[in-house]
Amino acid sequence: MKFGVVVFPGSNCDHDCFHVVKEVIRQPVEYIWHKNTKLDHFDCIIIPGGFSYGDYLRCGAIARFSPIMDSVIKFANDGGLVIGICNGFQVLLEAGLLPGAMLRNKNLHFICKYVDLKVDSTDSPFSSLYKKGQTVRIPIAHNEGNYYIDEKGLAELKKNDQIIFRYVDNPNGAVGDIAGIVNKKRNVLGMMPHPERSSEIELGSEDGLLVFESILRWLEGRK
Amino acid sequence: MSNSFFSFSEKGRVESRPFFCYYSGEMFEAQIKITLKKTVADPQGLTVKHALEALGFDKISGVRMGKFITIRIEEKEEEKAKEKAKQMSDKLLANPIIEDYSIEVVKI
Repeated sequence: MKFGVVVFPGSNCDHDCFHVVKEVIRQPVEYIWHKNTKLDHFDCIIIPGGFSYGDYLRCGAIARFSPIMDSVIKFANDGGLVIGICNGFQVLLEAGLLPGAMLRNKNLHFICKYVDLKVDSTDSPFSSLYKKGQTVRIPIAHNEGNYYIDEKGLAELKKNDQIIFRYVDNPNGAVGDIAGIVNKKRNVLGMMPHPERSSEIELGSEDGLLVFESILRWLEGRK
Repeated sequence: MSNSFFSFSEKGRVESRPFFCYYSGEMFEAQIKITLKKTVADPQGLTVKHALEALGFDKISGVRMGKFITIRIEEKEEEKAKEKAKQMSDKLLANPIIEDYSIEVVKI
């Protein structure tokens, strides 16, 4: 299964994602510079964390108009798997592939620490190997992770079982304790916590690995 | 006396046709104010309010933080400049899910 890791100016978790795919789940992976537009030969696109375009204007707002994003939107609309982590989640929100927006953390701090998450739904290509209700430990590192959606939107997310991960102890003020959501078609995931930083026990937790293994399992099932 | 590219005014001064003209629009400055929607909590505004109260400024409320962006736009009319600024705001400068914006256009 071929993975692609999108690289914007200012991405800084691209190498971590690349490493996990190549060395931990041992699948072919390529970096994709944001000016490229060909995604035909990929099975899964990862939009990594970082500070694309310095987080200027709004996080992800400028990356959203990078040449590659039209291709990512098309790839997603055609059913391809797209996962946005941290800044990648913010880019997907700005691009309209996922509903809602990000605000500054409620306490105005950049928060960098391990948090406990509850797996709210295992009905997605990204979370199928977890157990529903399971608590997992995955780190966050962000300044704008305070997920916002209006009440109607939140009701919609709940109704469609789109909330995949919730914070056990909400660190940033996110509506509904939301840490990660999928789109209605369930082929696009955005999450603030970093599964790529918690996929090897040497780093303190391997609870994030199941995100990548779930993706792999799903892709293999589809072939 | 005239040819296909130039015409001469009565005083004999060469006046170039529009084809050769530098763009003769006017210069406007769009001043775009972006604020969080009233329904969206603004922790920065709240923190600033607390700091102001700590300094003794009492009876204050509604402290909100936002962004202020100025853009110079060359256009023929003010309305057109404003329309351009609106398009820029809708497409990129503001996020309609969490933000409102207002635009003032001044001639400079």
